[in-house]
Amino acid sequence: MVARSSTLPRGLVPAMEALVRVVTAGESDRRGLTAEVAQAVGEVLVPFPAHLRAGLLAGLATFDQLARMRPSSRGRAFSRLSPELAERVFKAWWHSPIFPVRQWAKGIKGVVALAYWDHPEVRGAIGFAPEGWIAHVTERRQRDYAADIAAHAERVTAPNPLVSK
Amino acid sequence: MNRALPAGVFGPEDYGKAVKLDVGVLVIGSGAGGGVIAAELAEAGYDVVVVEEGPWARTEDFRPEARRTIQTLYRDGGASMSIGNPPVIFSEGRVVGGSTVINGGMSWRTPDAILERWVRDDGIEHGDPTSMAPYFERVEHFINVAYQDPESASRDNELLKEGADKLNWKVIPNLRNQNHCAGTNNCAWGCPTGAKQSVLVTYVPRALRFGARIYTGIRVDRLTFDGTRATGIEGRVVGGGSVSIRARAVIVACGAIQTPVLLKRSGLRSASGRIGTDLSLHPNTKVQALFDDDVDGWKGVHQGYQVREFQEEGVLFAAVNLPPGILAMTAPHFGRDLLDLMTNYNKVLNAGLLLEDESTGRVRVGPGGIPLPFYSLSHRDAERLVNATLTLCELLFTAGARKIAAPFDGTEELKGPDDVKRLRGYRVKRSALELFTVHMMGTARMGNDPKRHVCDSWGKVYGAEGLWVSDASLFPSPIGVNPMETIMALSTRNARRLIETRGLA
Ligand SMILES: Cc1cc2nc3c(=O)[nH]c(=O)nc-3n(C[C@H](O)[C@H](O)[C@H](O)COP(=O)(O)OP(=O)(O)OC[C@H]3O[C@@H](n4cnc5c(N)ncnc54)[C@H](O)[C@@H]3O)c2cc1C
Ligand code: SF4
Repeated sequence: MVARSSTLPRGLVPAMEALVRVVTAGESDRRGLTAEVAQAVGEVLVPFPAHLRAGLLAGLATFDQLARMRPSSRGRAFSRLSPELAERVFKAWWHSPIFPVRQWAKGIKGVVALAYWDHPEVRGAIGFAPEGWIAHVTERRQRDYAADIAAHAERVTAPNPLVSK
Repeated sequence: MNRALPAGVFGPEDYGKAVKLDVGVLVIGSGAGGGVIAAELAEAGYDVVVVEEGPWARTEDFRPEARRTIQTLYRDGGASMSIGNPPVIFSEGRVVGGSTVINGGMSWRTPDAILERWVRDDGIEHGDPTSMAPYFERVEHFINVAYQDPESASRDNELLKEGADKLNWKVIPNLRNQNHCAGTNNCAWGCPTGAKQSVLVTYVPRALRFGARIYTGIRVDRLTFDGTRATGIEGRVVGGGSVSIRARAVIVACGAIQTPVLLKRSGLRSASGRIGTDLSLHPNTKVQALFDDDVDGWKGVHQGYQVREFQEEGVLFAAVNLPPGILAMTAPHFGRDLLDLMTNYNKVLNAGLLLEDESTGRVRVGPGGIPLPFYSLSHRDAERLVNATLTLCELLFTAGARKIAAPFDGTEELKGPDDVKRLRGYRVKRSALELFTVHMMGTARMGNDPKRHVCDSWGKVYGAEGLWVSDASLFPSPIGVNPMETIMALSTRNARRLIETRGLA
């Protein structure tokens, strides 16, 4: 069991988790990563400019609650909807004719997608394994070009005045 | 003493409650502009201190971890955005070495036509191509500008080249500041092999070798003045603690977004009224094309080629591989469509374009002194971007793409060249463009007229004594190619002027 997000306001955790499911088409649940990714989203937001972070989170709270107003939601918040309904509600915001609403949907989806597809397990599953590649080509570089590498490193700090005295 | 830092570099652990210094030349910012001018002045014998808001980083710290890197080496967690129609997301480095630590390594001289225009329209002294050539050469010597070794080629770039070749379009290998680049495609997250010759591994060691000192983790809040003479700075240690530095000369090199705001926060007025105006962005759009075979864009160099067929129209194309988190973040999908795209991650080619913009914006000072950049794309630039994006799609289909994700908000994915043709007749709203940039320029323009320019031809701020600017804000206009080498060459040239005229004495 992964600890609940400490950087995300506690009240927003269910909505964020529901959003993670929508953005990843439920794959986060199949991998058992939903809670962890919701927490990671909170971390991604920490260094954001304060107004942007506040806007994204306030938008999420509003989005969660406004879902109640849709007849098909039958009074439930976004975080309580079935996956199909949740997707439909998010889609409505994604295609909203109101620019800031659309902007919010794109922005929050972006951070969720970053947090999910940057997860080591997810990266591995889609065939992205750069560590081995980096080790291989780094060794090749050192083997084939050691002399050149050393020569340039020396050039970088060798005296070479811009203006001769 | 923080043992992890090299000699001459200091961090918050070394400071105690307050930092108080009295120095010769104070350089604020250690990126393309600040790093270069600090090294040149240090070698000339000046007492140089650099203050940098970001942390010290080492090659060993750089790993293919986009999310972690964005949180540590990018300002604002990479989420900076201009206000306007449409908003433009932009990135700035915040680390010793500045944005050069996270940049793509494309190293191009300023096009001759741009230098000539600056001389003609802005009266830049000794700024013509012949006068500038020795400065480009010197920079290229230190940052090792070279063509790639063949084994570092990546498939996404080969596909871009194949498409351009089939269409008989001009495509050229990129010149990059690298020493036997291994082709790890990790440039934007810090080069893990040390091959990219960023300021962190070139001019910073050079500056230290000649006695400069670098104070990291210090944010400068304002410049101090005695009348019109700059006398130093006040700031704070990131994480707590005050900073006060007296200096005989101050050089501001915080980049085109932060520099004008620092000048304004310090109460500086310019007779030109142009501190913060004339912001150019080289706005980028990008498209994601799906191929039948593996592209594996992460195996090989970042941006091996540039399509230059449309350079005279101010447009460049490149293949820009993105790690999964960033691709998913920027893809125009969510849910099932996004999952499908990402399941085929290794078959995706992400390509982008850069526009030499005619639109300009301005950076204002926001609440708490933060920069608020405003920028709205002109209708003409929007049209140019839409057309260029569709031309890029045409190239990708010629290269064998099976489909391309919706290039503009509200449009469908493209299944072939006919769809591209169809979209050419469609009126794309500015708000449907998703724009991004890493090239911010021109908010403290240099030139010969104090009524039109903030700085003189050599970066000295008009109306102030002892104060210079040395970064991308000096550009009188956008340049249509990657800007790092221009910034470095200008900083070298301006350093030479200061040394020869004893301008800092
Ligand atoms: C992801 C990315 C890719 C890029 N790719 C390329 C490329 O391939 N080729 C190319 O030519 N250009 C590229 N660029 C652009 C290029 O790197 C920049 O134009 C260039 O580094 C700008 O130089 P600068 O000196 O103006 O600012 P920077 O290099 O950004 O340096 C400014 C420094 O000042 C510090 N600073 C700011 N404010 C303060 C303050 N108040 N107190 C203390 N310190 C402060 C910052 O932390 C930063 O380290 C790229 C940029 C990015 C972000
Ligand atoms: S592609 Fe080359 S320059 Fe870029 S990070 Fe890898 S080794 Fe370094």
